[in-house]
Amino acid sequence: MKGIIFNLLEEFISKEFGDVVLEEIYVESKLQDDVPPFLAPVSYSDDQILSMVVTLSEKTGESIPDLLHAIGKFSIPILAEKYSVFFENCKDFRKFMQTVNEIHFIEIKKLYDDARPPEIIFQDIDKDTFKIHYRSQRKLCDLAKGLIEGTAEIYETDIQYKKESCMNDGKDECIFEVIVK
Amino acid sequence: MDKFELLKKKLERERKAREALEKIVEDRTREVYRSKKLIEDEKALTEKYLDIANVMILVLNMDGTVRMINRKGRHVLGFKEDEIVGMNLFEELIPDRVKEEYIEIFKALLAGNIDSNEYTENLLLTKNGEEKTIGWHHNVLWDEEGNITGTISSGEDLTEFMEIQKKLVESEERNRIIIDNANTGISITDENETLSFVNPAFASLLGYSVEEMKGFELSEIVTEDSLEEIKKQTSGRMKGKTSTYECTLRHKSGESKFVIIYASPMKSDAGEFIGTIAVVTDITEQRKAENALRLEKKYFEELFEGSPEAVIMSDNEGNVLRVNKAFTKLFGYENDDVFSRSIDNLIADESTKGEAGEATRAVASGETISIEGIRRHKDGTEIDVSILGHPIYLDNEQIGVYAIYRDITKRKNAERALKKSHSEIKQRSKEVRALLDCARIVLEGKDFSSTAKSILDYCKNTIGARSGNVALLCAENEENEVIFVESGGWPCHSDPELPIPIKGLKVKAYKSGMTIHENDFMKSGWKESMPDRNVELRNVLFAPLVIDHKVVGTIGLANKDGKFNKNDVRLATTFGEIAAIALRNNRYKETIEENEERFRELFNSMGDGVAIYEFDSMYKRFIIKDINKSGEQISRVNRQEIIGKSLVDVFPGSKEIGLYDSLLQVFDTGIPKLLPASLYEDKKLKQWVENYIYKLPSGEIVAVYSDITEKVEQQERINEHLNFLKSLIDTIKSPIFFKDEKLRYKLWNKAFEEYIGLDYDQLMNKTVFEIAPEDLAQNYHEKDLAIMEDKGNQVYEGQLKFANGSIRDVVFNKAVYYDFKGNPAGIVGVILDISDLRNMEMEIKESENKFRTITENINIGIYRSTFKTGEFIEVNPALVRMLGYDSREELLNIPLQKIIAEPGDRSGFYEKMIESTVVRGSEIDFKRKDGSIITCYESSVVVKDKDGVPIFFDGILEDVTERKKAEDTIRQSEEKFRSLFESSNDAVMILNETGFIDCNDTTLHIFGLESKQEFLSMHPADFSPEKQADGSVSLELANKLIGAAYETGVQSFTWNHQRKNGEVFPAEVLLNRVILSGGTIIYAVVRDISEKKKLEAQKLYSEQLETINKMVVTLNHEMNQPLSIIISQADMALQDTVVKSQLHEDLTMIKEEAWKISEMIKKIRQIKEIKLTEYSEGIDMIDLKSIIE
Repeated sequence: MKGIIFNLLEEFISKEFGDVVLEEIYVESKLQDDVPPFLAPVSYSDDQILSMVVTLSEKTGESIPDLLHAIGKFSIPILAEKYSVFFENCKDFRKFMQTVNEIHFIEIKKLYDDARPPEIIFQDIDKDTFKIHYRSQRKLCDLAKGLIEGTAEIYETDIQYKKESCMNDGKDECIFEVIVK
Repeated sequence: MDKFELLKKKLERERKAREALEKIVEDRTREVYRSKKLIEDEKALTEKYLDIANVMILVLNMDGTVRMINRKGRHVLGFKEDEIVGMNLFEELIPDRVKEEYIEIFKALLAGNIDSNEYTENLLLTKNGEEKTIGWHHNVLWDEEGNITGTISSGEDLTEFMEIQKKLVESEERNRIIIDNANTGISITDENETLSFVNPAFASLLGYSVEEMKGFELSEIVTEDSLEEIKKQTSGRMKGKTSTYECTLRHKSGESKFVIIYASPMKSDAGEFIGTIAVVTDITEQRKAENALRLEKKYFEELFEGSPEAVIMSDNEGNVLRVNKAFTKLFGYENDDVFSRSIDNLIADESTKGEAGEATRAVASGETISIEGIRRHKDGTEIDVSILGHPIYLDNEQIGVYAIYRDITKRKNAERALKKSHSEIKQRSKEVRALLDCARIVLEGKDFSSTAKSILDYCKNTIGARSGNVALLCAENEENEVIFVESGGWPCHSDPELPIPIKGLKVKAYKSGMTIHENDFMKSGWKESMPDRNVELRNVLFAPLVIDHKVVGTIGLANKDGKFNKNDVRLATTFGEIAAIALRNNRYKETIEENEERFRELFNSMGDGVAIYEFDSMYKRFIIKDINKSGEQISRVNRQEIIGKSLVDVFPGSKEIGLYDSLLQVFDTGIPKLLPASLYEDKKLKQWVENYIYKLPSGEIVAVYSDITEKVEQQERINEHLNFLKSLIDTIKSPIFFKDEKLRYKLWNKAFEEYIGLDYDQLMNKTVFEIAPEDLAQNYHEKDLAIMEDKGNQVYEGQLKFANGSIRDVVFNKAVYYDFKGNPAGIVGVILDISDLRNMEMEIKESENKFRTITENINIGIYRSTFKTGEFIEVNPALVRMLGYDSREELLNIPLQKIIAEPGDRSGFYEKMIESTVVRGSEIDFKRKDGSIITCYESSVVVKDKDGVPIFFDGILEDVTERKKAEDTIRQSEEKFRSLFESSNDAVMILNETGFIDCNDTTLHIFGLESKQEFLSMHPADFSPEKQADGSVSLELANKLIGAAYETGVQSFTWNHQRKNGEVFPAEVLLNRVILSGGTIIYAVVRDISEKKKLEAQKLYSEQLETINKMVVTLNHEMNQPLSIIISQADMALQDTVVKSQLHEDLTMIKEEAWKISEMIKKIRQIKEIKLTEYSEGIDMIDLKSIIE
């Protein structure tokens, strides 16, 4: 996983739980010797971020899915600020979700050619409804949920969504049905 | 953890992060530098490939200056690179009139107000100021910070396309004008027989407007009796048949219109029947005229046939065309006996032929003759005949003669000719047999010497010559090499081994290529040129042996009993031809043997290895029979060492690469097989080889193979190269693709993937057959093969299935690219979407097509010619056919004026055209290629330029030659009969139930009438006295006889007619009934017999006079004697009686009365005429008293 995700997690922990908790997590998560710091363009093993989230869950009592959901939602405004061009190019939430895979997949690959970003496939249902197919070796669908919600908020759009299938239940992909109100 | 420690840890992490990031930045910078160089290299390479692809690429800076333009772009605009780069497009390369508009588009593009990949068509100026229309796809260029830095446009030169489009519009307009102005009806019906198009002429024919007729069903305008015919014809057209037929259409007013329809089917691109194009010619008036002519012809034919006199019609040469029933009755000849024969040969014998021929020639030269002579009946009996010969004129030209006979002649005997023919056939049969035998000998293919001997023998025996030879021309062309000599038993001491010089009579045969003969050779001058001690030659014949129009030898014949004749010449010529064939065959055989030798040389000098194997079925192995030199080199073997050995022994790796199995497969099936590139490997050899294997008719198997190791390695290098280009071409918005030499997709850009909706795995290494529908794929594949073959550029239009499922029209620009050795390594292609352009073009084309199909299919000629010089610019196939030319191109080279038969006929045409723009239906004769003349109705339209100056003629020619001929034939026939009708010496009248309808001039003359109008207003009874000789009332009797003629067909009787001046005259009348389709008529032939009656009366009178004279002589003889006795006895008795006595008075009275009788008889003997006096009512007596007094 890319260092930028670690940076978002660090920022989330720092903002939500304080720098002390962050330092403790660095120590308790049994990270490798040369990290931190996490550097945005560098790849780190997925185990390390999971370890940090698990430690955070233990320390805060929040469930891991809830934490991942919160991290996702927290990350979007930061990403929107850093990579504003991608958000500005899309006039609304639906358009963004339509192009997110292209942005996400291609632009990340452009920046970090060794990255293994998840696939986020848009499926058109009708003018108000679409489905998001999420495929990732990491199965972080709760993070994806937070990202969807965060994006809707950026575009000031009310949405309602439900998860139709989940990779954690042994399916090939997670499917979210999203209704734009 | 306190704040300080926390801050310290944080700062430490940030320091580490900064150092790590600096290293990353340094690495990335290096990488960027490498990438930049790579991109520059790739850019150069991309430019190279874009230069190959036939598409213009133009990059503009923000200020409109040219940053980059590829070779194609420079080529189109005519600039060198250093001339155009830096030039401001809008200031220097855009025409002024559109400059502002284009600048606005450019600004909008840069401002992002126009969508990416926008398509525009723009005018650009070339270096020499010419305007070009370019179709562009524009995109903006961005720098790394997302700022727009300029535009990149890919474009295509549409100038030619636009020109074509303009021409199409013009063509469509032209065809429309032609069709709208045609005076022949043209219609198009769909497959349901509904009218989808009619031209004004068609609508006018039926009394409608064009608008009214649209959507009409055929059944609405076709009469019921023609409907079946129309259905039948349509059924034929659905099978692709073109037909010409007549039918009847219904005019808006209900009137019937007779038309000739020339109909041809219309087919869709898929070949399905979609309707009919019909050219409709109104023949109503023509039909009426024909019917009238036919009616008149029928009248006169019946008159001819029903004439009581024998009549013949002949041409100017005296060949009989027709005779009537009376002729047949009189001479015994039927029409079939005399048709096309000379009348003089038929009915004149040797003694009268001279006189008959003179008469025939006189009439043929325009004289009317009336002669008497002797002709013969068919049975040989002689008949006295009077002959009236009269010329027949048509349009002041004599077209034949007719003659009226009262006698017949005998039939000619043609059996002698038949016997002669039979004898000739026997002779021919013998000759044919000999020729066939010779042909068989030639086919046996023995050496020429023995074949020549056999041919000479047959020739000699068939013709009856005793001596002969066959000689061939030596290589030096000066002497003859003797192949065979037969002296025929005559002494000959010349050396047959020595060549014979070509001189004397033989020279004639060589020079002329004809068979030459001399029947008195020893006395002719040719004898001097005879070789020494040659056999004596009484007569000589030389027949040439001709090959490829050159005499290469002769067959010589001599010493025929009698003389060589024409038939001998013909036969000898044929034998000479057979001998020539034998000689040619012999030479071919020698050539084939030489060729075999040459092919052996070729085998050994071939660049590819060739090995020949024989299958050993016992041990299932292939034995090497032969291998060529290249094979030895490629396989590093020695031919002598491997011949006879098994394949696997010599090439142990052959089974692994499938060579053995392939040989076996080809041996079993006989089907050639290509064994693809395989890596052959054994202990001493490792190489890539490709084998082509096929089976010889002998059963041997041939493997042609080559070492392609170098080629395979090259392919691998190309693949690497293609991958390298992938990222480069993604920057181009037009779809681009590369294929390798096997036409497999190897590289493409993102636009290509988006365009056809397939990803990497679906495209890589696939051929077009694996990604496109089969029909499209086959088409593209053939194009690819063609460009690989031609090694050039290729631009063509086609269709592609877009990712969203829509089919788009595109232009493919393809070019071959080459490997480092300069060999074709594959194809690069750029696709330009021209769907919108195509749709517009299709609309125009469809319209143009409709009218072009009409002009191509109709059977009327259509042309366009220049106004001033009359040169053809365009002609349709019908005109080419009509004028008998082989091709459109041939006719286009002939000026219009040259094919007008009489140029004077068209004088004033141009003036008329300028005045009225359209001229319809002028009749003019044209000269066909073979010189024959056709008559056409011409309708023309002047096409003017925008200033109103005439520039073209568009003309329509309808060939009416056959129609005119038919009319002329009918008219000619009618004229013949009319001539006979008009010149008859008898009055001929035609009447029907309403009264008289026609008569000839003789009728007017006989009855003393002024005109036909006067005649037509009268009744038959008006030409008769009130009563006939038998007291019948003329009107009643005439009606009765005419009624009887209607019932029985013929009535013949004698009738007292009355002229207009009241004079009554006797006549013979023949009434004949003629049943015609339009009703029944009676024609009446009236012959004035008053002269005949007069002659008969005179004859009777003379006979009466003669009878009286005889009677008087008898009386004189028989009565004078007794009267003399009475008178003398009375005298004597008077002397014995007393005067004045009763007796004396009685005797005196006896004497005086007897004397009176005697005197009367004397006077009666001298009478010259007879006078009658009425004896009692109805009975006359001779008035002797008045005669005597």
